[in-house]
Amino acid sequence: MRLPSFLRPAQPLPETAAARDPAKAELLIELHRASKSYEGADGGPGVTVLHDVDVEVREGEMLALLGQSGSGKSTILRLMAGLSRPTQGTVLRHGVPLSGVNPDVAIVFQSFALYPWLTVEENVAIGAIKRRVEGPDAAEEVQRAIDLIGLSGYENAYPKQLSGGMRQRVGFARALVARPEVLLMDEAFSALDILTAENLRTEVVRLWEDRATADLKSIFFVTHNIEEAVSMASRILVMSSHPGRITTEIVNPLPYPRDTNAASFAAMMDKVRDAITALALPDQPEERPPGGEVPQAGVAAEPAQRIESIPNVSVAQIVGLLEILEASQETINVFDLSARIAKEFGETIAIVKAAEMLDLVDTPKDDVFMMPTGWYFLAAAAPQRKTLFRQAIMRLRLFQILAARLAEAPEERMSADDLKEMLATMLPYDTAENLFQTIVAWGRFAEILDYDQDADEVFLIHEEPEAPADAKEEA
Amino acid sequence: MKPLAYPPATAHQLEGGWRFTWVDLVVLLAIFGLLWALVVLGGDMRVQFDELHPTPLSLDPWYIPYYTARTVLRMLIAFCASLLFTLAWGYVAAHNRRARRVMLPVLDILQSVPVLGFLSVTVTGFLALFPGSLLGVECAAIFAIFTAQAWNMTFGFYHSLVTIPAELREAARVYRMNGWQRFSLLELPAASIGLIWNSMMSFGGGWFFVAQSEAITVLHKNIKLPGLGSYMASAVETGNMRAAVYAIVAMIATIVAFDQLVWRPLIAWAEKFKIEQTAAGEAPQSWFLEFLQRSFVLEWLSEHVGDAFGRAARRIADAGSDAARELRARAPSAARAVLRLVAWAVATAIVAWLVVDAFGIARVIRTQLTPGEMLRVVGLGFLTFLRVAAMTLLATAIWTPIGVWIGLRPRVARIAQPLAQIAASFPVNMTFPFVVGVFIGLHVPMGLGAIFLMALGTQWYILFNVIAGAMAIPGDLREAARLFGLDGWRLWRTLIIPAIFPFWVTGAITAAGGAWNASIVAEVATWGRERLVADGLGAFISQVTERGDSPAIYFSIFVMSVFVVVINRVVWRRLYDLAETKYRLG
Repeated sequence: MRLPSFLRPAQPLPETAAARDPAKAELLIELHRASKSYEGADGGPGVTVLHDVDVEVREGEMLALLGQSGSGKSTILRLMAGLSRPTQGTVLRHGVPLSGVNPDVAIVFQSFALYPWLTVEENVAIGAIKRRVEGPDAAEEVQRAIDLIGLSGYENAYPKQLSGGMRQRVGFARALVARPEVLLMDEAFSALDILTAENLRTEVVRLWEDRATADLKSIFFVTHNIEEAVSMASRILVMSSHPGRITTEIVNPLPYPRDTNAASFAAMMDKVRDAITALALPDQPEERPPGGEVPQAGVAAEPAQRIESIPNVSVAQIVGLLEILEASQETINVFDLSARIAKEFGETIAIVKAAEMLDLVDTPKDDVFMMPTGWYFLAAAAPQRKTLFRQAIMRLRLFQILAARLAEAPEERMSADDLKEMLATMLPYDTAENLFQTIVAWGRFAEILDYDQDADEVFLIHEEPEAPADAKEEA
Repeated sequence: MKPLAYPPATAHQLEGGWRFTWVDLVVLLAIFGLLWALVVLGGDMRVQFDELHPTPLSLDPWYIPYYTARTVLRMLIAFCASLLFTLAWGYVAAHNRRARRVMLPVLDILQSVPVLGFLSVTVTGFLALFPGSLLGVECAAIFAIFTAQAWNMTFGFYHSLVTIPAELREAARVYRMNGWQRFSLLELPAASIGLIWNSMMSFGGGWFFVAQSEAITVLHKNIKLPGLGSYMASAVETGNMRAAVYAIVAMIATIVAFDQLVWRPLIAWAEKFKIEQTAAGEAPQSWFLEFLQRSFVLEWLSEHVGDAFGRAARRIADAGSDAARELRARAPSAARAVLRLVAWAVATAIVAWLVVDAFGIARVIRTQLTPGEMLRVVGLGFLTFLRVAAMTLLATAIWTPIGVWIGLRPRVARIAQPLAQIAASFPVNMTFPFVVGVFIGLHVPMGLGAIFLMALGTQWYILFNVIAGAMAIPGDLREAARLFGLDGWRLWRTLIIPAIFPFWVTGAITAAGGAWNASIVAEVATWGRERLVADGLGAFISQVTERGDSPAIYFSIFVMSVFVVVINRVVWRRLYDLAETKYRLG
């Protein structure tokens, strides 16, 4: 899609000069040591999603924030838009603290956020509301955006009648009509199929290069897709999760339009991937299991020894990973694995990490290979697998502490709320509810603990776990 | 790319031009006819009322259309009041977290107060407000219908507002909609489907109360408002069977007309407000809506008058939000402090007034009623409770198998479900005298007969919810059950009962709530000169109302409300939670 001439700015773009020299570029939005935590519902355990985050959105750049789901990327975007306030730290707009909704931004949402009862035209016109243009002027601008984004002919259609890609085009047209200084995109392509997403990404890059609206100075986007970040952004921030922190900044000087087959592109991909795996799968584990020795009660409160959280993955996913490794007979790159199982890299890394914590695999750099224990586990029959799994998770401090606590509790039972409270104190950056679900799932498979939903209690299981379970069902 | 299906209205606009047809003639006639009726009927509401010589109602069938129109007007006024209340109360509760903490519990309690018991209190109050005019009684009747409709609608609206997807709200904020735009472009459309369904149900429930409140006896005075309910009452008093049948037919015709001409079109029209992004399933249809969509006059009106109204509202809201912003910018803390002070002062005044009032009533009750009498009232409450419980269990036992049978057969269900809804709307209290006549003939004791009378009105809620539940059982679960050879009791235990349980809970809550209200008219019944009374709280309320014994009225209503609240908390809330957590499908 080529822009009609009247939409192109007449004079050469000053932004490119600014982009070359970041020091001179205007700072549009800044997050300054921003943290965000949420209180738990009904006074339950809360969670810290962002910790001490600094971000600068500069004039003339397309900035990507890359991270796995749940890392707090969208929270950062909402802080910039003024839809949410930081619990600590500040958000600056042109150097001035932001109050209320940021008037300089427009958002393209992951779920499109179109009003289903309005036509395409009416939805796009929503973008003109804040500038209070009315009548023919508004209609003309709406029509221009519709033409620009390739929606002409669909003016009177309702969003329900459109495909996902066309719906997101409406989202873009609405954002452009608002004439934002900074365009925010919140996983704007992740709800689309691969081809449609690719097509729309190319068009957004072109819109950006041509400065489709005169006021647009920067695009900030949030994604979990490495290739999306590398193919679009001029600067990439990599986030780590639990708590959300920005860990790496990578400048991406490749010229547009970018060729995904070029060697320079592949090199940039590798650079970003290495940055991610260095953080998520460090070659030195953060916690060395202390030789299978059950700690004394009350150890949990001791801050000296760090307790490692467990990734929110199912046992079946771990076994599935082992089976893929078995079939491939060799090491697999984490990102190739991610493409192969069609999961975003964050989820893939979580599965790999879980397997690594259980000593089933090892991960030198971003490769994965099976450990002897992994082969042994795969060869074992179902009861032996359970035993192996039990031994493996009982080497983790988290489960050791849990088991010790439950053993101490009256009747070896503990209310789920108390347990979540305890998890929230031990691991404040995890969502206690998710962690609880994973612990119950792993604990059930290993037959060391079970959860009684009606009583809302967790209890220990001892030897011959089948017998009492059956008896209970018949009762 | 999918081909675009333009909705009929849009295709219409594209053609443009002046296209006046016979449809428009009908629509115009109807509009002017309705306006004329409104003027005439509204004037009649202010008719002078002489307590000593009340104008007798004519039982001439030619008067039935007029009486029906009066009854309908009462319903419409009450409904408009309910709608305004719903929008205001629900909106504030959804937007103000502090107010919500008070507003929702208040609504919950109001919902538990038996409306009919209050009729005598409100009638005396409104009569004092408009002495010598029937307007006071009109207001009391309208108020009774209002209290029967508003709470449920408000809960539904509030729920719709707080479940609007977060990103739709965020888009509204980022694109800077003002209050009016957010309400008209986002909140009202998003809530409209729920609001229409709730309105339909509440309006249906209202017929019962309008029929009851048109002919009441307060302080031994027999007051009749011209209307279908009082026509029926007069027919029964004079033993004119033919007139009674006319009234019942007119009532059914009115309910069906409302269903076809108002609610079905609204439901079909509101289909476009569904939030799900995919077009799925069978869209509801209405012949009347299609008829109206052919009208050029209506299109012209909505385009010109509707748009002008929208523009004006938007300008006002813009000016308002500008003024508010400026005020905040100029005097940020002072303005807010003043506002907060005013809000607190108003809230405190209301609370203080309520507390003083409550203390006053409590003192009167303490001085006028002996502990023995109070105990007796509570005892009567237990009797009525037993009746309500028996009614709920019996209706469940009878209607569940039938409802499941219907629900599993889509073709039958399509006919039976609307019928059950109409049956639930029909004010069965109109037919009570006949049933009581049968009781007298068969020597049925009123203690048991009252259960039957209660069931007449409320069983339908159980029936059509069970039908809906059975219709919602996923096909693959049914197929799996058949494949594994589940049948008879085992099929019921493993699939049908768990699947319909959430629906049954909804139906049973409504039925039991309605039964408490109905007990006030069902435990005392008259057939000509014969009068049957059952021991129970409902009968007690109805007797003290006739005597005008205020302390006893207040106390008995209080006791009934407590019964309802406690049962809701102890029984229904738990069953509801169980249904939500364990038996929710999908």
